[in-house]
Amino acid sequence: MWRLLIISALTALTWADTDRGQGLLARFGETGDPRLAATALRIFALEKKVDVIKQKLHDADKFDPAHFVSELDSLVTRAEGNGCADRQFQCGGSDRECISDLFVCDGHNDCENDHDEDDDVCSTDAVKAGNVFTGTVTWHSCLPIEDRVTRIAIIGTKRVKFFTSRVRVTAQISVDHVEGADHHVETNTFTAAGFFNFGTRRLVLFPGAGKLKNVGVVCEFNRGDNERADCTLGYKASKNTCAHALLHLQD
Amino acid sequence: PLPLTSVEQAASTYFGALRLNLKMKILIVLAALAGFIAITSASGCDKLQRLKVKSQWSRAYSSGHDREDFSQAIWRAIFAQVPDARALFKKVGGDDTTSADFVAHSLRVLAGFDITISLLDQPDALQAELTHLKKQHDERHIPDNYFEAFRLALGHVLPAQLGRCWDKKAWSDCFEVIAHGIQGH
Repeated sequence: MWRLLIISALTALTWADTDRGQGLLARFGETGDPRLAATALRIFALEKKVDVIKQKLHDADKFDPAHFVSELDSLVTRAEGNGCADRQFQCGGSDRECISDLFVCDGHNDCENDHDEDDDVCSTDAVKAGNVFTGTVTWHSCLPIEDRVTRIAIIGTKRVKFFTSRVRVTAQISVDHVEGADHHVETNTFTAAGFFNFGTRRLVLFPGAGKLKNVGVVCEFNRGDNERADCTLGYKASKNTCAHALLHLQD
Repeated sequence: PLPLTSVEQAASTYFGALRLNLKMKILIVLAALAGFIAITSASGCDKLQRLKVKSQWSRAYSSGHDREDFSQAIWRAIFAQVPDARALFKKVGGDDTTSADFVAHSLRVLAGFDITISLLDQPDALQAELTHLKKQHDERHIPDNYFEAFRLALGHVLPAQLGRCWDKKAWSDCFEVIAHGIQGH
């Protein structure tokens, strides 16, 4: 039995020609105790297994069941509607109650179940200054513009103490476009101001200058997280939609 | 240095006076300009701004339950700034803005505000209404900062309610007209 172990240990050592293996071999020589050597080998094998598990953990990070279920929930809710008017907030849960979006996250409990002041609902993670959302904007009317990679960078936020149901947001919108014979990429940048509405989970921005002077950008965080938003570009006055984009938070 | 001749002396005083004259002229022009700017900014809320405020107000003021919510949001924003102001509304349930008494009262107040805004384009009638409201407010000795709290509350709840297409300048100019009319200064 011991002989078998020692032989297999030696094979393992010759196979694993690493620093660790050589250290093992040295210790092996010092002690000369086959039982200790076998334990060392077992430890070595365990270390290998831990490495494999580490890799698996890393891969598992890409699949988040709770996140997936939350996304599915949001999509189904959007498809079936929540029974509330456009600018209202559904308290959810077992009691179906609609309240005005002016009351969501304003510090008063307005829902019977207090859902309008939940930490999840009132998270400002989506519009933290420094967040950059990227995606391709596809125009289907209003302006003859081909599909363009667009970034929305949140550069500043302000939330007044006496009216907390909105976050005032300043953002920089940059649009990449290909120019010239050498097809180099140029970027147009303009600042936009607007607000984030907790009740509707919408970030509304108005560029207010340049080609998009009369256009408003409405991004709805309707994918069950604070990282992806369905955005619509439309005329400010008529709300006629011009373009769509699915933006996601850059790492 | 050589002593100046009388002619030279006369010339230097003449040119000195001329320079002073020019300086004064510039000053006068500047003062006139400053006065002009003061007058135009004091007389803000022109006819077009008044029409703008009227139409934007009718959108924000809305109707039915939305109006109750809008009013509630404004009063919460006021009391969040000046909690002491609740004392003025003790008789009408000011301790709890969601109480039936206070909801009724807050709607009455907004209805008064609605009258003044609706009359913005009829100066005589507006003046009469403002005089009436001033009389109602005088006996309550409302501090100026409460009016300021109302202005700020409106300045934040209005754009939240309207979402887009609201003119901040027109609102601040025309609010001044109404607030001054009620305060009397």
